[in-house]
Amino acid sequence: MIWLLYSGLILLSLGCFLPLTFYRNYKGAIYFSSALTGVGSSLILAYSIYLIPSLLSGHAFYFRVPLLKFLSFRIDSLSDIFSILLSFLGISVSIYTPRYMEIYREEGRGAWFGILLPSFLLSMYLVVFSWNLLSFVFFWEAMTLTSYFLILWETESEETKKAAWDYFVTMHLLSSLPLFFSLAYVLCSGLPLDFSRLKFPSPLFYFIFLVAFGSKAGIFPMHFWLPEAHPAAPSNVSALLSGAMIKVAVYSLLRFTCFLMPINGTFGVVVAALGAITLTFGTLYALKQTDAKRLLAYHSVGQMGYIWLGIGIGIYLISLGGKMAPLGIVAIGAGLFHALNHAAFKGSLFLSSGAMIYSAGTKDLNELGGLWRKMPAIGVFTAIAALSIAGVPPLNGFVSKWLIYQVSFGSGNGLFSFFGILALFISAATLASFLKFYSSSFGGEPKSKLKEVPKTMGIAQGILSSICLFLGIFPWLVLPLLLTPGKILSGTTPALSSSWWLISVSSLKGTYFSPLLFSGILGGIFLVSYVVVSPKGVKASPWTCGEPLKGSEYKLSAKNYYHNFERSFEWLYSTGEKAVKWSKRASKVISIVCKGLCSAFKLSYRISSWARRMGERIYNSSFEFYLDEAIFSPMFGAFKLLSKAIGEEVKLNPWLISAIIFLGILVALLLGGVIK
Amino acid sequence: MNFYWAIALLTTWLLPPLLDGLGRKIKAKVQGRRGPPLLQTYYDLISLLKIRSSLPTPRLSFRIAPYLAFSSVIASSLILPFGSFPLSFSWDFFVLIYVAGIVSVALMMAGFSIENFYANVGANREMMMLLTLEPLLALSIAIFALNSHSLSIEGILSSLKPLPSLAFAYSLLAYVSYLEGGFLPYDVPEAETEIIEGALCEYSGSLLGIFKGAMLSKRFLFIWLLSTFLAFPWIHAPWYVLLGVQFTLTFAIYSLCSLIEAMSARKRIGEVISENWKAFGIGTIGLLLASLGW
Repeated sequence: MIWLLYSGLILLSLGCFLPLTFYRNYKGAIYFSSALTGVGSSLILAYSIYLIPSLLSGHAFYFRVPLLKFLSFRIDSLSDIFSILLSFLGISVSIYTPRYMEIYREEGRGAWFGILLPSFLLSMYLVVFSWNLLSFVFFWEAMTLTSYFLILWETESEETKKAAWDYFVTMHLLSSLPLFFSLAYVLCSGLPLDFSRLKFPSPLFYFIFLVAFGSKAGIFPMHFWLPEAHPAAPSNVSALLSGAMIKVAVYSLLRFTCFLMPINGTFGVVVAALGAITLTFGTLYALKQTDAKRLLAYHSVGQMGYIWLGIGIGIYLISLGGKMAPLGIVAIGAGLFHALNHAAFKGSLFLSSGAMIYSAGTKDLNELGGLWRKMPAIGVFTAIAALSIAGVPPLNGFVSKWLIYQVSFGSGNGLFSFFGILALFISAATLASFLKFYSSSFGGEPKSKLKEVPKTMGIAQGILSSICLFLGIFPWLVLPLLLTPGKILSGTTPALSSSWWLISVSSLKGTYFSPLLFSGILGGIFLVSYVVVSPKGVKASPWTCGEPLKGSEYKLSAKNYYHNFERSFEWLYSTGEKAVKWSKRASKVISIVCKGLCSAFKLSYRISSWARRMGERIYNSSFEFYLDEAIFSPMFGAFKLLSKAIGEEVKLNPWLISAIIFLGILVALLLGGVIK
Repeated sequence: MNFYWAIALLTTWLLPPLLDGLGRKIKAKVQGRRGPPLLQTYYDLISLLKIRSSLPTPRLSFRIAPYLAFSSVIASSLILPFGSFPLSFSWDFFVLIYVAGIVSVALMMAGFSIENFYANVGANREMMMLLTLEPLLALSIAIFALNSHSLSIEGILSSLKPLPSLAFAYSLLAYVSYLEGGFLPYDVPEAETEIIEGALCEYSGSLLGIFKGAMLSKRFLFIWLLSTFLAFPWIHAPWYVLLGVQFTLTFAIYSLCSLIEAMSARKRIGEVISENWKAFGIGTIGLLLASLGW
């Protein structure tokens, strides 16, 4: 059966250059590359599912590329989970892409998009399969670069340029540099590169990997790039970014800090705390958004918090060992389950935002409305995904959230219980946000002329939404696989047993939930009442107090939702503003210092005034000010200042940026060597 | 033979209108009126169910929301004991919150789907209530869980230890039950006289009847939860005695709630939100005590 995997990978690799043959044919290139991607991911999906039985017993499967020694790969239960996740997203995105990309026709460059999409997916596959530090770092960097070019797709728009630039710089400073540093360290100290023998010796690496993978995953306070970059990309790419790429960071965090280093309880608490903070802040900011894709991106931050919360509690409990370790396995499984679920519902939601753009030409929730008239099926799929992310039973989001509550409240630890309370509260906030998302885009009557949406786009979204429903009712199909990594880590059996009709958590006094029975009972009562009392009625128009009003004038618009509630978080939203003021002062101080230092040079005046302008630009450019921008804008200021000092033209000169990044990598390599 | 599920389903379906009738009677007496007959709410509901409803929107969500609310509230009764635990899909506290929460989800789906400002505002307020109530409920569960080392309602009830922090958990639970029930100072989302029943504004006839029934059942469910928590951990008796105690407590609490309702005027949503945050602040002291083992 191995040919399934090989042919899948080969098809994706062919996709990395073959679409170039359609250089003058936009449509041809996109169709061809989507076909390669779709077939390639389905083959890999088939193989990943085929492997499950042998992976459950702790086996792993190795393969390598002949001649190139450093390209060695392995699939174990952890990689397999992410390979399944990547595959179903890859399949639905490749069904979605051909028709959706019509709206970018003016941009041209179809062949380039054609090679970027399969390369991006392939690099993510190979990151999770890598069994060698060198190949891991190589494909990690490939993933960052391809995603950068995909985010930068609408090259004309200033916003996109800024977002892509932020993404590029942040990823290289916070994610690639630490990885290069660790690679240099390993190379210089003569440690083996192979993951089976590699063990990172110093606790310093916990911090390094926390930064490297936390920034990629969008963990607070390193999440600031995410709500900019994810919405900037075309929606099919956003689905891959939010659905898959940030999950690859979760995989890497687990792989590096749990499998390549000894399990550390304190580290677990830090991860859980970061998760709790991230889910709270990410979602509270999301609640305020009225741009569909920005809202979704902030929720990706929030949901990533749930995943980290689960995994962090798991690491802590497993490190305790003894009676708590079985619950720790459940915690890691819960985090991984949420990652899988998030890929399904967030993928579906981003695809629906693409349908909004395709049909209405806008993603502003204040201007959207009545989409259900043109796309009732997509409306249903979006509703399923929205209810799923809000954790409404019996959808998949509920099952993973329920497991996260089990481990946080059931750990008997006051701190984790408090994190659990935050998680439960944020679950309600997520519901609030998605009721807004759904009702203001699909509810009411259309506000402008809507375009018909192609069937394939609906089918692509339908696949993801049915996964939401399916995994919610039959979680037992994936739970054993999700629990295996934790089992390998702790060496005991998990405190969870699942059968086709029941999940029971046997920790403490034990509790259970039967999704199938629940759906049966709910559906049964629903049907009986629906049949007994008919919902038939007389058509009427909404009551407008007798005033002849148009419907759209008589509906709450997205920006007015939850006003009173948001007011009670004004301190949070305004802290950002205050902090930005402070950071503006900080940039001014930096500029004064620079002025003083460089006064001997002719450049001094220009640099300092430029830095001041930078501060003012950051202050003036954004509509709302967030805490994160305040923390990092001085850092960016300094970095941009440095680039300014080196060259004249900084603004988005790719060669210069690459040169600076390259310089940074060299410094990291040197540092790694020296510290060793 | 487990027949408790039948008691659960039938009670949650059929009893709430009687309680409502009792509440109306009490309010009338307090205000010096004669009040409607005890069974008036049954008559109201039956006559509503006979009338065809008017549909201000052809949307599916508008039509299925009442049924969704009704079925989820009836299903969630299976998580609670009625004398003893029924055969059920779960006895877990979180499942209870989420399944009972579907009622609010349905109400908001209905309210937001229509182009009617009153309905939108009602749904909006319902969401804000939910947002501030959920942390309170979570706090009380956390204290119960730390006290009894369990998350299933059955486990909690069977092993609660009388510690000082429990006072916080009980008061939070009582507060939440009162607010979730939508009794008068807190009936902000459905404010009849102010925003014409909010999300229910556009409903009429049989659909309204089902929605009303579901709301009454939800109110009953939370009071039943409270009386279960008051009775079960401390009284060890055969199931029929326990069931009797549960019924007595439910009637007593419902009467008390109606009494409070008769004497209060509606609050504004902003007031309710800030009040809830204060309650959360006080509740955290309870969590702190519980995590210290008190």
